[in-house]
Amino acid sequence: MRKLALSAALVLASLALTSAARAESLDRIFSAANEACFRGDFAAAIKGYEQLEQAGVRDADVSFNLATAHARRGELGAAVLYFSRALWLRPGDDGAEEGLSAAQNELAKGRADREGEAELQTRPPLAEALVRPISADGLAVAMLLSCIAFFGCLVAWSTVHRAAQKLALGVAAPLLLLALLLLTGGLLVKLDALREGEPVIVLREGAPLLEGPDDKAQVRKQALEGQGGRVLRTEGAHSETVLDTGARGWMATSDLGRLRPD
Amino acid sequence: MRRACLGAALLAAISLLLPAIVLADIKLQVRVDRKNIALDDTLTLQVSVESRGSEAPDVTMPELDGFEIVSQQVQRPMQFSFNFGQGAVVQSSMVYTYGLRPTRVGAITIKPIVAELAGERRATAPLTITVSQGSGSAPTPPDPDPGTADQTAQPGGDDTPPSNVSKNGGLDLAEVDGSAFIRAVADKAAPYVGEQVTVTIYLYTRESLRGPPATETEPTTDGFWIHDLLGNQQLREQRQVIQGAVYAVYPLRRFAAFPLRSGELSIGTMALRLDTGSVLDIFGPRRGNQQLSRKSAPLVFQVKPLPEPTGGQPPGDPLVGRFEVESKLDRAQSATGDAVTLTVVVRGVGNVRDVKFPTPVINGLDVLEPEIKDLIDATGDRVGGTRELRYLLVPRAPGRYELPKFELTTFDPATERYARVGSTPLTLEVVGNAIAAQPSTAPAADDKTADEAKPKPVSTHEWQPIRTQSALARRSALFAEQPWFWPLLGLPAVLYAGWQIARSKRKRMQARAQTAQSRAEQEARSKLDAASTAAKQQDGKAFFAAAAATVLATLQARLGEPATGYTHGQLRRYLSERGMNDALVHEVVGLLERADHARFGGATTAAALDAELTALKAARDKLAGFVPTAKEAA
Repeated sequence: MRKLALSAALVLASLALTSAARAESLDRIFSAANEACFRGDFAAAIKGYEQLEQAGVRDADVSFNLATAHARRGELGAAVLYFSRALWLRPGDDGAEEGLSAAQNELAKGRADREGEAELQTRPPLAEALVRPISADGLAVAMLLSCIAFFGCLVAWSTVHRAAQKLALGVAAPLLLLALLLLTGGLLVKLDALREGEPVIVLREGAPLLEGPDDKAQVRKQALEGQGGRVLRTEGAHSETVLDTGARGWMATSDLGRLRPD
Repeated sequence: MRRACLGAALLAAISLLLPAIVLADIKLQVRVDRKNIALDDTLTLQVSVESRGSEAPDVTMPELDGFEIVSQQVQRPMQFSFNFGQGAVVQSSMVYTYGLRPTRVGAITIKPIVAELAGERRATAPLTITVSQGSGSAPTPPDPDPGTADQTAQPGGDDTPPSNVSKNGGLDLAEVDGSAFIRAVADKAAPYVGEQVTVTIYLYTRESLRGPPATETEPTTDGFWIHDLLGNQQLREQRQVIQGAVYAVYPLRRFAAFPLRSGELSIGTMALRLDTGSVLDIFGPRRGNQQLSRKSAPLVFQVKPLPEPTGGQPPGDPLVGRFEVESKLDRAQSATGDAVTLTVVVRGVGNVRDVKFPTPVINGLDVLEPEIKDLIDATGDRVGGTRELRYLLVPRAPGRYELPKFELTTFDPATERYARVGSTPLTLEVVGNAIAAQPSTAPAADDKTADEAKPKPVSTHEWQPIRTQSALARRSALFAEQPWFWPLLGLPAVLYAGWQIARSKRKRMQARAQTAQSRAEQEARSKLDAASTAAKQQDGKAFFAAAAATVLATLQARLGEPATGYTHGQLRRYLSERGMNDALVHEVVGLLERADHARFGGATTAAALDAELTALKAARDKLAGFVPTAKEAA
């Protein structure tokens, strides 16, 4: 028994040490990428932050730095992608909100300079706007609590005898039910369960929207850098995409950035 | 007397403080290697700051607007003390070297650089650099900034200057002078490419120096990788007799130089300015102040290419020196998607910074570019050390992975032999579900197509600063994506439904029990009426039958279950167990006993029947107040 406890303690200690070593390595990559960014070597900084993402890090601060490094290199489509990802990971992040808005404005400004006019879409649909500042986990917890409160109210309503208490519970229960239904809807919107495909951002100005999954296919439209869309399926190096404007076609997968890495 | 003591103490304190104030002297110097530069060229800006005293001054660099900093180097402060008959002089120096690339064409001004120490402040004059379009502007000669240009003195160790010239095939060049001269010594004249040459530059002087020698020109080291060997050692003056005269000798520079190419390479001259003479040194060769300029001879090396190996060319570029390679994994087992660290350590004598390995490509494993850490060691003037390369491996699929050996070809100049050294192969066991390789989420920084590599117009927007703190959190599944979430959400509804079902069942049972009791009570009342009628009719048998039925029905109504089927003794015990007091038990069972006797005992009188009827009603009244205990408790 004693031997067993000792071996268990050793295994736990070695696990703790290896995870600490891994955390240290990730910290070093993060610091090196930050230093590269400080000295203006944005390519090296981006490489460092991407290494972290490839190692499984899903952190709003890393996405924010990645977005900022891309923005400073003038890669505003990628900046939109990573600011959006930072907001997905940490809804309501003021810095990411500001960065996203600035990247979209810069894109629109550049487009207006080139073409004389540009449309700037910053308003998301109402349902998305309503749930944007709340995280999916926040909605899930609120849903769980309102569900418990609703049924608790029903139980209390059945057991209390005073008329005033019964009245109060009788008003609270429908309101809680309404809240529960709204939160369920919000969570479904947040999880994109009501929409087909996976959200993406166009990374290249003028990326072609093709008739089929082939580079030689006829070009239907040219997508705008930073424009949103959804990937429905992927075949080879192309993905069937519906842009936010409703245009549908095939785009090179390399021209698209996935908003949610996994 | 007291005032005189106070004055003396004050004077003593001032005399103690005075050297400290004098020591806090700062000298600041800025140099650029040219003032006209092309847009795609790099400018070297060197800031030297010197102070007397052990504290280093604070140097404030201006915003280098119009330039991108491409490299930055800080030479560590050097300290040494000279004893020139004026007390110990401690001197610190710090050299900042920046590689600057202009970002626009035109005149760019580098604003003044400020150094502060103990309230003393020095600022340089602004420098204007002219940036032209295109490339290939010829460098202009070094531009020493007007003002103080004193720099360095060199620490020394126990390095005795060699007394003979050109020993062991090395170089030893000096023009002996009666007052002072500089001697440059190298331990090899014809090294191999990548082989260490140790260079030492000494100052020989017979003069009393009034201050540390000022370096006018540093020796150039183009074509070499340099590693300083003197570091922060305390300079030690040594004495040496040259041509019958005693000289004080100070090692000024000592460094390891690694030639980067074959052919003729040289270490340039070092020029010094010496302020000599002291009125106190009456034994010195000359009296009075004098300024001397001295420079060393350049050291010219014939660098040999590495010899042709016997038995064919070894794979890879050979590394000069003696090395060993080892590799290790932070753990031998991992789950898919979890990062594992592979550490490769190359250790030995030679220039470890030359160590390079191609990043291994292993199917099923993502191998990230390594993080490199160098630890240079120069024990005994032989430069060597350790280069540690840390690769992050991310397994994408389960299985057993054989990690390749990390191998190097080395050339040892001492034996003039090639060798092949390598680490042992490692194995990594991976378990878990396969993870799809990540499609590109954004154009990779270094794999851009020609079209993407075109410089993008950089926006003028002031982007927010990056974040230096991060939890580096790994993504965990959302609550709503967890398998337990939706069942947990349904749990309150299920519990509520269960509670409602149990509640209604209990109500039904209560209602049923209440119905049985009321029925028994009705029965008891009707039997009592029958008993009253029988008493009036003086029908003893009927009366006692009805009386017994009344008692049993009343008991059933109170107890919630029939009281029939018991003997009188059993009934007595049962009623006592259900909490009936003994008097009432006696009364109730007595009534039943009398009824049984009377039914089989013949006729009774009307008075006796009336008395029994009264007793029966009294017993019923008492039973009405009887609350039985639960059957389970009984």
